[in-house]
Amino acid sequence: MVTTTTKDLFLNPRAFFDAKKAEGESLKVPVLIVLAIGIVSAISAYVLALPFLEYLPPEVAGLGPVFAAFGSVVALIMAIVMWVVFAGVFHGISALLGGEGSFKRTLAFVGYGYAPQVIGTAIYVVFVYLFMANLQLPPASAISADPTIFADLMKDPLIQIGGIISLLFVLWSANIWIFGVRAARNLSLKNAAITVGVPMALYILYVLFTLL
Amino acid sequence: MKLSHIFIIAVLLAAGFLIPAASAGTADVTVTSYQTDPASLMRWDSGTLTVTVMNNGAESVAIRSARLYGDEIQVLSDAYSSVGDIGAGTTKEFTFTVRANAPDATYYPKFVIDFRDGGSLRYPIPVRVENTGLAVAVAAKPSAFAEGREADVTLTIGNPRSARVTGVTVVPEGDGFTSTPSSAFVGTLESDQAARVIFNVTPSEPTDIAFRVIYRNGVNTHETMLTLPVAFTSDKRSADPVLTNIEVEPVAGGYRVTGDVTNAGLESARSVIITSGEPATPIDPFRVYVVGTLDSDDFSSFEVTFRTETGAVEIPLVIEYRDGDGNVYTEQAMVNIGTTTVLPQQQSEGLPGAAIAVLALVAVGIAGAVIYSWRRA
Repeated sequence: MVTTTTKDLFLNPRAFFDAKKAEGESLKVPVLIVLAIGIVSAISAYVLALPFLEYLPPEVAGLGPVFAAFGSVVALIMAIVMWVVFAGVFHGISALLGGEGSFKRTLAFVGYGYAPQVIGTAIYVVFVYLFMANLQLPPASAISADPTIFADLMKDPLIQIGGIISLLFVLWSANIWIFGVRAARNLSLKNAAITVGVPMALYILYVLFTLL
Repeated sequence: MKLSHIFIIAVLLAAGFLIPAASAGTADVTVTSYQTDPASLMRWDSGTLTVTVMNNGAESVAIRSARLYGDEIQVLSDAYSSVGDIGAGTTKEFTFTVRANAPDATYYPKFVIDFRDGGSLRYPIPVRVENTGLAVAVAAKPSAFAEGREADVTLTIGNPRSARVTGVTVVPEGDGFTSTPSSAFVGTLESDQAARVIFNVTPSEPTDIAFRVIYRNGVNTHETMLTLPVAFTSDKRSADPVLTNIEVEPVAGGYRVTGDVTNAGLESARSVIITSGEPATPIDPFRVYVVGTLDSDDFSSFEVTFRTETGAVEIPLVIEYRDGDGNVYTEQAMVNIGTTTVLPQQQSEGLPGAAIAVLALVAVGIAGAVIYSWRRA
């Protein structure tokens, strides 16, 4: 039995997934990885929501922390949902290309592929925190008068650079996913690249469009 | 002839010799002049009445006493009880202290001289009593008073009395204002004469300024008051800076407001400066914008920069200017910044550079990892 390390996951994913394929299907570690991303996202969502609580109407101002907590829970759930969605998309496209294998294995290998995004998400949160520390938030009336204000705020260079860094880690994840899907669905490297590359290219284009 | 007849004849002869002699002595004593000081008394005033008596005869005349009688004009001093002789061709003055106890009129206290050799001289002396005081009027004042604004108030003090008054002094009294001078000394004011006094007053609140006119009639002190109400109203001619064409735009760390300031008043606004007020905090480069002098209907562009605390919807722009006298005026115009987003302030030039460096390192690292993974594949 070939042993795998975290280093292999990042630098030699083909060997990592070939070894994992020989093992039994387990979602324990992938779930932990995705949960780590979800927890970091949840914490950052809560912290970043706090300055905006003053925009709540007076009658529900007391529920501000509740709303912030709700946002955190949504961020955590969204991380898990996106994991399942990506796995489902990859599983579906690979099926069209003649892929074979259980969805559970696809889900597990896609989960492993999320590992670089734990670092990327953490770096992005640092950039957003630096941005927020120097931000004068507009008054509540401005938000109601111009809902695009927050979209304009996201045009800040710090946010854009943080977003690009986060996107680079997504690309790294995509690279790992290629080898993961190849192993999970018994595809050629070319078909695995198509399976992962097409939806990821669309996703990255969408992110770049909103970011820039 | 009977002895009684002889006695009667002797008496008549004696009378015939003596009476003409005595009559000749008293007939030559006359009152030549009289003078009251002050010349015109007000009721309850004290003064002096001086009567000058002259002996026009060739012989001296012996005077037993000299007195002054009066009801309305009360005589406060005693009679002259031992006068002596008035030499031929000489004069003698008799001075009495009097007080006016009656309303306006001319009264005639009687001056009486009793001669030692018999007979007396009675002479009514006219003494005038008039209670008319000085007349005080506001000759000029500003069309409007304003808080902290200097204003000249001109008073006219007239003397309608028949005699002069002395020591005329005007003192403004009251709270809520300052005055320059604090009092004005006019001095002597002759009959039917007037004097002008100018006070530069600066009110700090609506008030009443009481101008107390103090003057002396002889040794008697009198007062006349004039009250000038000071209410704050808008000056119809004053400068009126108006802000128009306001544009708010975000800058690094705050806002920049640009616009025009126009003087819609009739007078010039001098030393006009514009800045932002609480809750805004002025920031560089335009903490304060100095416009300078704005004549009537003149305008100038301005620009101010400031930052605000989160949540501020409106901030005041403070316009400070002066009038021709140097009085400072402050006006505020609210500017809505509610629909303007503040851009984050760059802490330093190094931050984006550092971020780009991190981006580059991450890109190189990830590219290296991806290339390496494909080489191992």
